Amino acid sequence: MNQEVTILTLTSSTQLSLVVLFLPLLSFVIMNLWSKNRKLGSYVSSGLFFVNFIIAVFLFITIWNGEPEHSRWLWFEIGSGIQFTSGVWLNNLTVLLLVLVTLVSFMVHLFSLEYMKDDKAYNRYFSFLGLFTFSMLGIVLSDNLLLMFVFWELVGFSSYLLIGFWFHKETAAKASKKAFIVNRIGDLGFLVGLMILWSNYNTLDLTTLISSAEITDPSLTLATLCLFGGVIGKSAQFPLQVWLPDAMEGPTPVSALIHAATMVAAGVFLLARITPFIPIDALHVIALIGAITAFMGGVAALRQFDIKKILAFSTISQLGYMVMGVGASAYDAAIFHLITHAFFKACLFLSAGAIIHSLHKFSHDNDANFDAQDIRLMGGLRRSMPFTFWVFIVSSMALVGVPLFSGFLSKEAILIASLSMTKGWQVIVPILGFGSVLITAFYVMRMLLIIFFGENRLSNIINTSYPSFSKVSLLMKIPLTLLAFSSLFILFSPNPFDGSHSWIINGLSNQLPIEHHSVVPAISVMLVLLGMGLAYAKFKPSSKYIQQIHSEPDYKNLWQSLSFNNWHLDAIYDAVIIRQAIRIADGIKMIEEKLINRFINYFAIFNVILAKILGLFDRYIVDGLVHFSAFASNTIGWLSKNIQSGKAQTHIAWAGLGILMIIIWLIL
Amino acid sequence: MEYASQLNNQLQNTIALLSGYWPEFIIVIGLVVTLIIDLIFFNKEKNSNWWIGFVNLVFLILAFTKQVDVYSYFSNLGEFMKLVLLFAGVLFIVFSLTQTHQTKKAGEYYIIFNGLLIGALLIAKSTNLLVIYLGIEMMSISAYVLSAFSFNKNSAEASLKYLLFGAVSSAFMLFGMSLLYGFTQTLNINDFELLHTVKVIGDLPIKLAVFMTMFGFLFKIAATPMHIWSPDVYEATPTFVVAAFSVIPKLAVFVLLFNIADKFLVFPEVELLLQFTAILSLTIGNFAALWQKNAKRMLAYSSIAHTGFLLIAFFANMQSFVFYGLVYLIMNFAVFGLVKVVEQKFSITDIEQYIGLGKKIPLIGVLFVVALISLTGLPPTAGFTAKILVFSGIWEKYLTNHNPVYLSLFVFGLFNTVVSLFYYLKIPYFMFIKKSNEVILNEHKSSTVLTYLIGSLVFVLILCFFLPNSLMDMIYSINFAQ
Repeated sequence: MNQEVTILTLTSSTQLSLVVLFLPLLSFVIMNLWSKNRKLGSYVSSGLFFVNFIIAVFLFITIWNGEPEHSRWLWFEIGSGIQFTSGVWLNNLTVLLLVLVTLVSFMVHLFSLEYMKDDKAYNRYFSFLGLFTFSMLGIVLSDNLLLMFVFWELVGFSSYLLIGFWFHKETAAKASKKAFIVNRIGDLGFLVGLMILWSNYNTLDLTTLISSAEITDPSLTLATLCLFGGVIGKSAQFPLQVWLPDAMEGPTPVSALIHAATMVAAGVFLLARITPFIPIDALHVIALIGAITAFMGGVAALRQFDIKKILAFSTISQLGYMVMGVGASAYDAAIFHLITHAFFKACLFLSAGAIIHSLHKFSHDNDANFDAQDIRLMGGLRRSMPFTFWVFIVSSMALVGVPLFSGFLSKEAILIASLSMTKGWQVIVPILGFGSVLITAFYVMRMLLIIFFGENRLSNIINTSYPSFSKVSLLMKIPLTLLAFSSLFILFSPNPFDGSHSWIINGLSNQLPIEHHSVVPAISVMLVLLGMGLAYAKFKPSSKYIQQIHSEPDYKNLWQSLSFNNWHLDAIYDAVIIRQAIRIADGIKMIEEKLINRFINYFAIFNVILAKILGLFDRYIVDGLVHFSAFASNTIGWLSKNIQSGKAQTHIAWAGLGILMIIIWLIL
Repeated sequence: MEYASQLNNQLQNTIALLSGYWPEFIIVIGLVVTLIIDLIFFNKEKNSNWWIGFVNLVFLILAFTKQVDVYSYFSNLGEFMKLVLLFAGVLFIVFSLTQTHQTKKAGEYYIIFNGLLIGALLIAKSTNLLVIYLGIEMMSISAYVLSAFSFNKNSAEASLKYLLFGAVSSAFMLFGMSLLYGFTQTLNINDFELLHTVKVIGDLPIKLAVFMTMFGFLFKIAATPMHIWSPDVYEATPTFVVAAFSVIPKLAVFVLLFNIADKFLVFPEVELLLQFTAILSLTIGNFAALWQKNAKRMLAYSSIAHTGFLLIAFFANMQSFVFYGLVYLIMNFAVFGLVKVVEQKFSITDIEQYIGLGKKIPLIGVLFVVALISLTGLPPTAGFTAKILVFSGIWEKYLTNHNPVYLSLFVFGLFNTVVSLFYYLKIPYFMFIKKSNEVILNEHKSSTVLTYLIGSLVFVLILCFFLPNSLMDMIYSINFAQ
């Protein structure tokens, strides 16, 4: 069964990609060593990330639409002949993600320079960012599933560090634990999938798997579904999406990094990597899960009042779209949406961060204690933060999928692909997909209206005049502008209404480009308009609802409660899993106390009696020997010590005596 | 004409061979340069002359790298051990450099140490009685002076004792050597035909001569009965000098023993003398150590006991000796370094004063524990690996020749390992376990660089337990057949 592993030597491109991989790790090390100088260290690390981005772009230019490059070497060997390899595989998909990850990391670095300026653990923050980016790049570059799994776990760990960055806050500590544990559940699936693949094919190398896997093999369905388990955890799919909203406890730039471009994208990336050997049955399951997630996430976003929570649920919803795209055999469209989503979602998060930053500063400066993330207290920010307003509008439009913006292109591509699933129950997939378009338009419009329009409602809560917020600094403006620009259509496709000929899709798919529909865009634009219109009707500044919103409770009826509490998933898990687990643990504890402890007690009493008997034996017989040997040692030592009296003459005399005795022995 | 070309050839050969002496040349040059710098630039009253030590260090490192070349050419035991000796020299100077503000008369300190090192290198290499004698004397005289470098009453006294004792043993050795020269008509040990001369003179005089020569060697390795000088000297001498004393001369003379073994050990009595010495050194060293209250004095006895272990290794096989010697070097430097750190921080050297120090300086305490466990020979340290090698070696030897003396070496070695546990663990016992009555000690600053250096040595000790392969590979690169 052993197959000889072919070693592929390093090329200049793969060497460069290793540089890209290790520069963030270097930044991690530097930030740890250089913990004294706050400013310099962080600028050096941001500089490193800029260099990293430049190298990534260079790699992109060399590899994109050219020959894929693959380097592989022997990693380790178990027993004889069972060889594991590791390596770097650069193809279109890799370099695309490489540029994306390095760019967004760099943007987040720039933004954080200002955002985290006053934080005590400033250096720790930057070092964790380095570690996180390193792990993410590792996933992107790995050429085999085992190595990818290693980095996958590293991402899990470093996201744990980042989400729990303000670990002194109990909610943050809990959120980081939750994210970590929920991810582990998914990773268990990943691990089982790896085992199945290894036992069937004796390799985890992606290129070998793609060429040798039999797509009709039933165990392959099982294996890929297990791998999909890992994706469910990492990319926050139903039913494991509960960790993502809580993960908003981390600093906002971290949310931008984790929930837009990197960690959650890792799952979709994994699916794209293995998509050539996913059997069709598994694909259907994946599409269904994706559609359900898209819908559930959208619904949950409807009734949130925390600005970051809204964005979090919208992320879940968009990730559902991507997974649905992969399931509908259009991984190219999914990756396209991943890219566009990364830009506009990072932009949304960062501008939300700018708002929070200003409000927080305001509350701090005025000794006013209010929740800086609650949209019920915002309103009218259009006038006080015009720059942020425009940036936010642009990226929101991309999120909704309005023509002329990037999100429109990629979302259309996925929706068109989903139309291929119309047989029997599969029809639920496109229905949920289109339904989510409506919902997305609705909640985005609601968010925009409540945050930016109307009058500022802060004065309803606290006794201050209309707040004048501090300006967004240049360091924050640069990344925001760049990301907002990237949310426009021009970067991706020359035709603002047709995403199926975008260069990303052309570069990724080796099948025929998706046929352009004119019906699908028309339907979805109508849905968008409908959703926005409904939202406007309800949330327009003059409406009664908005007038009363500052005293609006979290939820008033069953439906609102369902949305606000994310379908009560947390409560369900608590009742079904956690409480049962605790009950079982209690039962086991009972058994331990009543049964095992009692037995141990009796055993201990028996032991004590035995020990008494042995003790007597010990004291009189064994100790006797020990005392004798100690006595003997002491006596010998005393004798040899006393030879040394400190007088030189006696020393020499003793030595001479020794020599004499030896000579006498020799002569005799 | 023919004679001239022959002479020319001979000269060429000699010059070619001289390249093997580059390390020694470099040290001599270093010595002279240091001397000149010291004479010209330094005021005798000033102490902190760190860069004179630095200059010396550069020369030593140069010599070390040169020795690497020499070793790769000859690759025999002597050249390997010279490498080890030079490494010890580098360690000594680096250690001393961390203490520049305390090193008095730094110029002389380094110069005399270089003398000691040259002596050791000569001994490790030579098989000529005259050169051996010169080497030993060079080493000894440097050592007498170095042991006075604390510049106090005790130190002067110890130095004088050392000198007197050394002179007597030198006299024995020189007497033995001159007798040997008289019997064999040659100074070159390789030309000795001792068994042949037995027919002419009878064996007693020859054995006597060999014995007397041996006593001189035993003095340098501090083996019983020539060990009596060491506790007094160790106690009063500057701690780093003690670390060097306990390693450099010892290892050099052991190499000498290997070099002359096939000529001198033809007599079973000589072998028996060494084996007997091993057992005595072990027993006396260990048991006397049990009584010691002063850490340095205790380590002096422990080093006598280790001479016994090295002698057992000498009889086991070369590989285990080299391994043991290397590990011994590292752990001795580590332990003496730690004693120095404590001495500097709290100005104490008595073990009982170590009480409760584990909580005050936990890092030092942990390093102490590991180093002492290694000296005892327990896992997970290289000391354990070294002892395992020695004992398995001697046991194999016993299985092949069924000589009961080998068995008793084995048994005494094991037994003494147990005894040594008692006094080595006394220091951790006082540092960590014994409850202190809050004695307030004045705390001074000590060199953190030194602590890190010791930390890395201790790390090597642990590393060599888990990954002994690299060290073993190095040792197996030695050509033991010679």
